[in-house]
Amino acid sequence: MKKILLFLLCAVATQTAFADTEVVLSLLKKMANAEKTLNYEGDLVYLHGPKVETMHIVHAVDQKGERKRVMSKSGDEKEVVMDAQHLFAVMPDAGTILVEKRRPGQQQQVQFANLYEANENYEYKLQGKERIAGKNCQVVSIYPKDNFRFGYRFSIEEESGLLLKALTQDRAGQIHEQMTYTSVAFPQTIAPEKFTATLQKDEYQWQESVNATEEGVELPQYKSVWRLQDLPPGFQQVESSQRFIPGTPGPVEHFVLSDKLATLSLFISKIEQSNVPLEEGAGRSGSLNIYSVITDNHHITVVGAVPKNTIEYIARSLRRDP
Amino acid sequence: MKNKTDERISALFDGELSRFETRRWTGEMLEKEELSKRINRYQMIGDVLREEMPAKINPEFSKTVSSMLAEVEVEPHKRREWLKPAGGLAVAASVALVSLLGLRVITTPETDPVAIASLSAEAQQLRRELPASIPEIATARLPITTVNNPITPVTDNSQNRPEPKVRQLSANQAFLTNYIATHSQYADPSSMMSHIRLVGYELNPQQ
Repeated sequence: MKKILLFLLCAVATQTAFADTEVVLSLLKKMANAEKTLNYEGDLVYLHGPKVETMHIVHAVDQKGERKRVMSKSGDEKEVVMDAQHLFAVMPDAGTILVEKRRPGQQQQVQFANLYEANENYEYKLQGKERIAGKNCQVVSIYPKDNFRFGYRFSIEEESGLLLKALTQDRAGQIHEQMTYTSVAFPQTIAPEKFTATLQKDEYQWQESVNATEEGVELPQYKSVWRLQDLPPGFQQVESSQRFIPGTPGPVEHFVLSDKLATLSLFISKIEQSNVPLEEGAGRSGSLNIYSVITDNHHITVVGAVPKNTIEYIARSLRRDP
Repeated sequence: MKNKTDERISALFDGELSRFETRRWTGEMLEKEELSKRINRYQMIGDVLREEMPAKINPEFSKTVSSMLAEVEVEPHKRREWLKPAGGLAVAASVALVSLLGLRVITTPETDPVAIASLSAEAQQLRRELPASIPEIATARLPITTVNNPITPVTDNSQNRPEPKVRQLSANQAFLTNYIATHSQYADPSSMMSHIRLVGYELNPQQ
């Protein structure tokens, strides 16, 4: 009798977990779609480490394509403006405006996260409902199954699917960043001037980052001698390219890695070509961890919203062919 | 002030603030930018006093903390004569605490849990030896660099400090911001969060 009860309990638990996963995946797909296709505008609070910032966000999709602008309203004045062709990052503290050319026909961001299938490195759970900025939201949790990745808790607006609250935390429960909307609207149209950067100043230096691989820029007899081996479980290299990135003279190799949810970038810059002293060390900003190391006359930097041990692990996974 | 702010932040993220309260509070935040600066400032001091120093810290960190401690004013009537000897001892001990946490952590390989555990034990031992009044005295304006202390003041020995194996990246490395901007093109898993991170990007010591 006990065995039958235990079996039934296990069966119910498995079925519930499966049902949760299906619903969460469906909500995540809706969220990803809403972020790219809806017109929305709102204010939000972003808490990372000891820092609290308020930001304004506006996003529209019309005949000109997808456009987005995120600007700080407190703290340092910073803003990011994107259209179908470019990303402009206005960084007044550095006195620079960074311009990234977008791939033709590409949406604003490359999505390596596979939100259509259950990821074996995470566990998905429905967590009830809550109201954010006056909107009803469904709360979902994505728990990491090991310490190589962070977990997420998203509050997704039921009607639109827009993400209105996000929390990133590690397996120990330490929260690394939180974001919550304080107001949000879904206007039919959004005036074009709302996508004009206001922080541009004449004294700012314009810097352009070019993806040499996609632009067809010919690099002199370049052949990568770097490869990644023994990556953390679940992570794999999903893209590689060469770029000209301001601050690092000469082409930079850029590898992108993903566990199908979290994404990391690995940059390799040859030191001989650089007049700029490149540092070794570590740092973080919210859930973003950064780790730089010098190996074989090359400066290696890994960046990603994953735990610092994962970043360091990946930096150490890099090998140079003789 | 700090408690009220923390409570409001907590209430905001717990969904316990009404829409009116949320609007009023965020309005206050925008009007008083000093608020977030204070959070940063108190958090840093609090981290030191609570022994929550990061595993790897900026060599300038101890200096910053010392200057922050020295900056905070204390009202003259609170400085009683009988506190002076204790105050001297407390400051010496607090400098030693900061030195220990600051210098030892920098020179300790972060992968060595034994060394970190021993450091923590030393810090706790030192904390036990501090007078009970340390929190009050530590925030007093006292000349930290002129304390007669067998431990070299943290502000004087930075040049002799051995180079740490893994150190804090300095925020003025232009390439870092550009790397972050390039990385923000890759959504994980929310494209919105990637851009919010880019706007909020500010390099901090790693924990």
